[in-house]
Amino acid sequence: MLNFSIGSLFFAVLLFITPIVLRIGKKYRTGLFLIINIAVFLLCLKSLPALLIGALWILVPYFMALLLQRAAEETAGVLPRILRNSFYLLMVAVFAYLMHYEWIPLFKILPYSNAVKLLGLSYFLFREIDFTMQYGYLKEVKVRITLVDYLNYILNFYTVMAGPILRYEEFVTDFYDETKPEMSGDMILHDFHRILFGYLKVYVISAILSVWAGYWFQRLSTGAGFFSLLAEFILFAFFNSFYIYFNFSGYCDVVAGGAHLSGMTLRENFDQPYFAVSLVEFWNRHHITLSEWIRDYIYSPVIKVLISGAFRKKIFAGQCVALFITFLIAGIWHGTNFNYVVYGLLQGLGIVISTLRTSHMKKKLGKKGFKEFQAKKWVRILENCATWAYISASFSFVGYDVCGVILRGFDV
Amino acid sequence: MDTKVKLEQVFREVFDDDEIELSDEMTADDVDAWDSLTHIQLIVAVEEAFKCKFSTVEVMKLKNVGEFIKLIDRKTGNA
Amino acid sequence: MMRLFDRLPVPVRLLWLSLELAIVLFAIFMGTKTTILYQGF
Repeated sequence: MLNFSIGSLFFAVLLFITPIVLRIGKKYRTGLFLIINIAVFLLCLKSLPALLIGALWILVPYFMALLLQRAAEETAGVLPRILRNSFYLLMVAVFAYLMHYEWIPLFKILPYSNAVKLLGLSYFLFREIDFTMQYGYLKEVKVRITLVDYLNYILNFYTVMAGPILRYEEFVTDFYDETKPEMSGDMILHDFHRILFGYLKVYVISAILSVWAGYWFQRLSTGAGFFSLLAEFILFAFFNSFYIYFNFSGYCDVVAGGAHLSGMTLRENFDQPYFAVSLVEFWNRHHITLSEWIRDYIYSPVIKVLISGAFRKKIFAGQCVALFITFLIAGIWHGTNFNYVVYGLLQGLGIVISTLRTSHMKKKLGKKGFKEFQAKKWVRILENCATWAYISASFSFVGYDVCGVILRGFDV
Repeated sequence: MDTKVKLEQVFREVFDDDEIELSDEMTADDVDAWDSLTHIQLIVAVEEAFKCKFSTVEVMKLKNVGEFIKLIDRKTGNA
Repeated sequence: MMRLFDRLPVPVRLLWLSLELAIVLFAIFMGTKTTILYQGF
């Protein structure tokens, strides 16, 4: 119903009211934070059915975690595992349905309304999977688990839109951390600066870049001639990749600064990604919390299954397959239309090629020789440029219908 | 055989390096080749050598060799 | 940028913040349209 983005008046008001409320009512801050979070959640619902779906989507995993844990403790054999796996499968299926992926034919037949789509749907999923997967561990190390804390973790309005993806343990430990220094004037100024600088990145820098990217995309989709098309594509991809960086990292600055004013620390999501010298390094510096989530919950389980099974004697091939699958899934997740499938394929392909190259170079130069080779300045610059060019080219499928342009090109 | 000695053999095999010597505080930062791939290779090799199974979260939470040994002992009932 | 800011004297920091605020408000009231990426996913 309500428009909730960092640019909305609603969010700006919350940004300043929340720290005051939470700090004045320090004794009740858990409850106060929950009230704010639930209010935001309710105001963002698009319809009444969405309320029911949202409530189920959030509450079921909490109680399932308890149930699965009990099943694992009390029943021996494969039954708990079957229960567990079918629960995750069901989660993913419901998620895919709610996202309404355009390229899955089944969803064209099933009834669907946009009104059931929740704000931050996939970020809910990430957090819920983290909580349910770690539940046993959390109990073991005696992390505080209550429904209220769980709801604050899932609904945290600072991160509900687009992350960063915290872990339950991390969120609760930080929320109840009493060793934090008192807020000083310097810190307040620092946080204000972080918020405003974030807004500047989003509404000035990325806004301008977006106009330029849009301009060159327009020229690209109406232009002709191979070389002018190529030049237009390069310019478009160039501006678009920087637009993505400034837009997303600006958003992260705003919410991190805001949360810090309220006494919460959000993990850093960006570390100068465009200085990366390889695709793997890029993903370790861009949207870091997502990369780590994917590493822990997709890459590791997939590669474990592969190298203890079909790829037992072919570990390198197993690694390539796992990387490809991981990046394909990560790409597909980013959006609902076919462009994102292409984006995922490109990411997967790129990562496999770069892994093959690294292993080939290591064989040729030796481990030490390769390290020395990579440390050379010109090599670093070249690898940085190549990484950046590849990322920009694949990012061009994010937000723009580049597939459509290519298809139209073939028609002519 | 002592868990640590047996684990050391597994480490040497996975990292293809006979000079590796384990200490409880050793983490991924201390071994050059210990990344997310070799971490899983280690887990799979340990599962085979010690005939036990680790869950996704256990794999994720393993940070140093000392914890590794403790977990193995618990799984194999050696503790 | 962040580190430089923290080292400046307080009056300069305040001036910097008001400048930033002015630019951001100007941009928003001028009607810059840019959506937050990844949102709604």
